[in-house]
Amino acid sequence: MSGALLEVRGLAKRYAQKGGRVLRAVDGVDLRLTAGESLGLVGESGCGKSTVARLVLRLIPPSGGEIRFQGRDIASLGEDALRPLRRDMQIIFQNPHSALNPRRTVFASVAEPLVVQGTSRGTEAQARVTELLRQVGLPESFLWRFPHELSGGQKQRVCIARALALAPKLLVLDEPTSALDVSVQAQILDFLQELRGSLGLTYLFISHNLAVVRQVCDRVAVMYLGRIVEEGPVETIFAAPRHPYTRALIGSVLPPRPSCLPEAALAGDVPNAAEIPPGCRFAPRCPIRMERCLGDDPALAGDGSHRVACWAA
Amino acid sequence: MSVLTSARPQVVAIEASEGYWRSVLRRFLKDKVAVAAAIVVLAIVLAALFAHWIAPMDPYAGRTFRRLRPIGTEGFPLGTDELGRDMLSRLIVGARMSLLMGVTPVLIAFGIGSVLGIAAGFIGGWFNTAVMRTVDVFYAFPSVLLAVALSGALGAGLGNAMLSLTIVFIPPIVRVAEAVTTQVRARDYVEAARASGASALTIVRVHVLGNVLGPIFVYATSLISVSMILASGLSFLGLGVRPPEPEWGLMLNTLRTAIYVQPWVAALPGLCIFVTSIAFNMFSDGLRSAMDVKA
Repeated sequence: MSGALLEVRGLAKRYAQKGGRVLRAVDGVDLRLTAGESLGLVGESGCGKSTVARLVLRLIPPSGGEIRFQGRDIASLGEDALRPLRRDMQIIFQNPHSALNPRRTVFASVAEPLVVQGTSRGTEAQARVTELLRQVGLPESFLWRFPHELSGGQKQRVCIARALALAPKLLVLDEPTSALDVSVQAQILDFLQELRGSLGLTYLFISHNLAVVRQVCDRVAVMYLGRIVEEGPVETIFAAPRHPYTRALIGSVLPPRPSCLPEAALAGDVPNAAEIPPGCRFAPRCPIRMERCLGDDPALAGDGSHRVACWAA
Repeated sequence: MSVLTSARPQVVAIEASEGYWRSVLRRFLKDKVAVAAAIVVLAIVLAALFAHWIAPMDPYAGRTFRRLRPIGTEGFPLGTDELGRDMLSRLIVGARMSLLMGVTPVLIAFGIGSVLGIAAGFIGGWFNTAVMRTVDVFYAFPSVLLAVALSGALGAGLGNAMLSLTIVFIPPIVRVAEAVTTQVRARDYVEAARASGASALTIVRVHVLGNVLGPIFVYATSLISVSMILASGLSFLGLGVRPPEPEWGLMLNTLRTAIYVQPWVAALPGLCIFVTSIAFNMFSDGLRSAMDVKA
């Protein structure tokens, strides 16, 4: 486990709010991505998944913690120092409709990273973009199209082409299919799987859709209220979830089987990230809450690959 | 476009895409009202540009014996004013001043307001707060009052009138520019550009300006009519153009005493202001809907 491409420790993002309150959007997240693997980050909306994505890529500055990319801490690097590193990590957004500038052609959008990084220009760039389009399954005639002439799936393919332009090592996918039609979702997911195999990419796959994560990822990290509560190999997590929150999440997806009792649905709402309860942050909604959970905050612990932050586990 | 695409997908698939401005032009030309307004605007602008060649008579030469002739008098198709000057010539030449005072302040305010608003929207934070709160101070006054107060304080004259109008129009343009920029800045393509390592300046140049200047410009064209009316108002109050220079607002003022003698002649400058501002408004309306791309 020495070749970690990305290692995140104690990552935090706090926002000061009016009245001196502090919103802890991300509150001590640890992640580790080995080269070539695909890690799914799942959780309800508002749990801080997308903030983690933006922090990892240093699109926003973290309030604390370290982000080691290829062994180098990039958490406090300035924009100029980050620029060469940006070739190795790219992002794909949830909504392809707002991820492409409506006034620029497909060529201009896909070539942008090449131009910004100064890797190629002119005819060379055009050849590269054509090659990229072919790679994502779009014909050369799309070069001079505008985004409004494309369908959602085609736009997402263009976004993928743009993200691949600099031949990155890490691809952060922020809910890449949730804005697409179901039929297109499957296509894009298959395509992303294929791409990872052929290009040896590493994925940080952010999603609220467990089925999608199960299909695409090797490992899963479950996030709740700014922190990871359980992490492990996909099949282990789905077969034997240990954190009550993970159990509730999985229970909310799988069809009820007559052989097992349905889990009790989670009561209550996710607390506000500005008022994270003391002790275990899941305690107020937890069906198996104990005395200890109200005062003691459990850390992510466990043997080897499967780790969980719960006193009962 | 969407209708076309769904009706003939196979044709669209092989057609080369048309450029953005070409598609704007195509949509604009479909809008009959906007095209009519554009023609009127063009006619007025041309008349103003070539006023001295078009005007049938000397707009400054008056004769006391032919004062306040009605519309349709021989040799004076639109009658004469209170000093016996040809109304048609004065209206044509007056278009220059009126247009100058209507367009110049808006253009200058468009330049300054766009820079301030885009900077405020893009930089955000304390800079945004500083700019926007300052703008709010100006918003506290009604625009007419502000224009009159400013040009009153600066002193009468063409330059001061235009300066005060410019100051009046900067705040609304800053507001629009800030709002549009804030919207564009939050788009994922801006974030994608940052993820590729694009500098702030590149992002503004490549992504922000192209998506922001159009809407701001359209808004600014809608201010031209307001500016013309305010400018006429300033001239009416004696704060803008000085007599004997022909200008529609000023003509309205000097002719108001003749309203009982020759009401139709006296109303002509007002009609010109009305038609021009309506034409500008409809033109900018058409431009806005033509530029409205479905992303």
